[in-house]
Amino acid sequence: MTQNFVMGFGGTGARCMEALAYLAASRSITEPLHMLVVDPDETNGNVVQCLDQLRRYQSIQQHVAPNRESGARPFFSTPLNADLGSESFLWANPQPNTAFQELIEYTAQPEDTRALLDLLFDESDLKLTFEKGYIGRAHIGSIDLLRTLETQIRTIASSSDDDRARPDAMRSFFSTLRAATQQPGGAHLLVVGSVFGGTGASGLPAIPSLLQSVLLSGLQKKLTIACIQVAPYFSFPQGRAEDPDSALHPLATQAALYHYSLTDVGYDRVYLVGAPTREESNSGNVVGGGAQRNVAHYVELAAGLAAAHFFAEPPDKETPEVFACGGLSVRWDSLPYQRATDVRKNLVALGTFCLLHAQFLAGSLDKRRHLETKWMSDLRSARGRELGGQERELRDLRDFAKRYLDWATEIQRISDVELFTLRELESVSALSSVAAGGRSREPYHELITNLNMTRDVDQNSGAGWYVDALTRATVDFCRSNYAAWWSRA
Amino acid sequence: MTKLMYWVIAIGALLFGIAGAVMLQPPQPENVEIRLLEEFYRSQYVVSSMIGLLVGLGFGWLATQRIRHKPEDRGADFNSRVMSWGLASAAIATVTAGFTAATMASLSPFDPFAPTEKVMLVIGSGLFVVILAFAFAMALFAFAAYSRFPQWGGRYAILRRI
Repeated sequence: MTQNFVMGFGGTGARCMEALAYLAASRSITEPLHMLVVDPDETNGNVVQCLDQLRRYQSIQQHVAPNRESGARPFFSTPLNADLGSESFLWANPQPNTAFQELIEYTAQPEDTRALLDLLFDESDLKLTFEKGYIGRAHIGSIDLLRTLETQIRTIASSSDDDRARPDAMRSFFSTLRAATQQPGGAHLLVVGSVFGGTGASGLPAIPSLLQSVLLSGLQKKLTIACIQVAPYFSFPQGRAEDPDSALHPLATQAALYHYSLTDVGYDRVYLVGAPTREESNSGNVVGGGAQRNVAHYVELAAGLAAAHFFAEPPDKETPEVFACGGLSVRWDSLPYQRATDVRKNLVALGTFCLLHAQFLAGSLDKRRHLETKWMSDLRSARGRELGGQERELRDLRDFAKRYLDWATEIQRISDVELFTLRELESVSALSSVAAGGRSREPYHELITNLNMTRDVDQNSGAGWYVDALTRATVDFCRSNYAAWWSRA
Repeated sequence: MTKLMYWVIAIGALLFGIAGAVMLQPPQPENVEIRLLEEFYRSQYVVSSMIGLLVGLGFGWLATQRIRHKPEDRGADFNSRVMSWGLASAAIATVTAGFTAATMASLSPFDPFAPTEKVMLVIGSGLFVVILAFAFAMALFAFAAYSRFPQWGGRYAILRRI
């Protein structure tokens, strides 16, 4: 079976990975994924938010499995970084406080080389450290990232496959990738990042050539590699003169795409994703750190769907193809690859699931009000499972759900976006209006009724049973509540 | 109200009815055949049981239309609401059965008594309480059985799934 790998570079890459996690959670993507976020600034708000979600997802997914007999898949049944710890999701710069000039050994270079470097980099460039990332300086980031990746990958190329047990996330990622190319199904690798920023713009061009040195000779044919190039889709207020300026993003994009048009970087397929307008994503000009956290955007969802398309329909490497997708407004039917992934049904059902758990059931579980309910007695029967209500995976589920609802709410605030219709989340009526077309007048009652009527749930743990049963209850409810479009979606 | 208490009441009422029907004797006034009174009471056992069955099933259906899951409901509180409806059905069935028995007594051939005297004759006996007990018990059983119908999926179940 082909194994799927995803690398996300920088903050934009991390945001796209977060959207990809929601597609996996909702079952729009069902094949296991091995994911890695690469960012020199591990405190970057976007990266932290993504990693928090991936770690919570992994904590929940360990309890949920597809039904052995019917093959039905509950939410959270798609493995992400299976059999690896939560530290496998992030690779950050191991030397964030080392100045760039030390990394390139500027003072040890011969005079003519130093003269060349002086032409390419000014004094601030040479003194730059990376605790806040590359700060839009792709001309620095590309060199540092290339140097770092080369070092890591050279280590892998000279080591055996057993070394993938080492804790370093990047080594584990590439070791596993190399091992996958030695299997009959081969591997798909997707690289995602912005073309206008720092880390993404630095990493995207570097990967294909570096992989040549990782893969054993003759096995490169078993690796299909694609990239998602994210064009500017957000802006932020202008800061100081030395701070990044989002007004320059389109110019940086133009330069990057010109380079890609002239140079075969080595990808078998390229997805270009962007938006016609750039919404303001942050109230301030924040350079790195936890405050650099942008609001969610539908472009990230589109990137996730592009990933789903690549994994399901990889290129045959012989025939060039061009895919295009867009519209005057962003609706479910204008999203790329939406029908094959059932993205409307899946994300709306996941939204209902998350709303029900986070707003209503999580509190009841925590206070053990669920004892003596019909569904709790079903959970306990036959297998002796238990659900105390305060398990860690339930809290992770609540936090994951809250962030998903925030993500969906942030997307729906963008003008001309007609995806979610979440309002007044604390109200029971919100359960029937995650998207347009809901008609139930007693959604909470119907959902709990469905939960009580769920039969033959075969999960090993109480938390797994709960997620599986709640998935079925939610999907059955949505099928009825959104009858106006459910069968046509 | 717990399930245990519900079943203690239901079974207790049924046992009381059976014991009463077996051990108690009908009134024995002069000028009225005992056989007529015995037949009357036996027929009322059936009538009151049917009343209990219909009222219990009716309340069972009504419960699905009225009892709702609410946020922050405790499982025990919800179950208690369901069983309260069961008890209400039993109370209604009991009153209905008593009224029916009294009405039918007034129309019965217990000559030479006047209608009101016939009613007083019937309800003055311990077997009248047995009639009420059958209605009460049957309503509780019928309500519990309705909660197990497939379309309910046992969500209001008072009977444990086998």
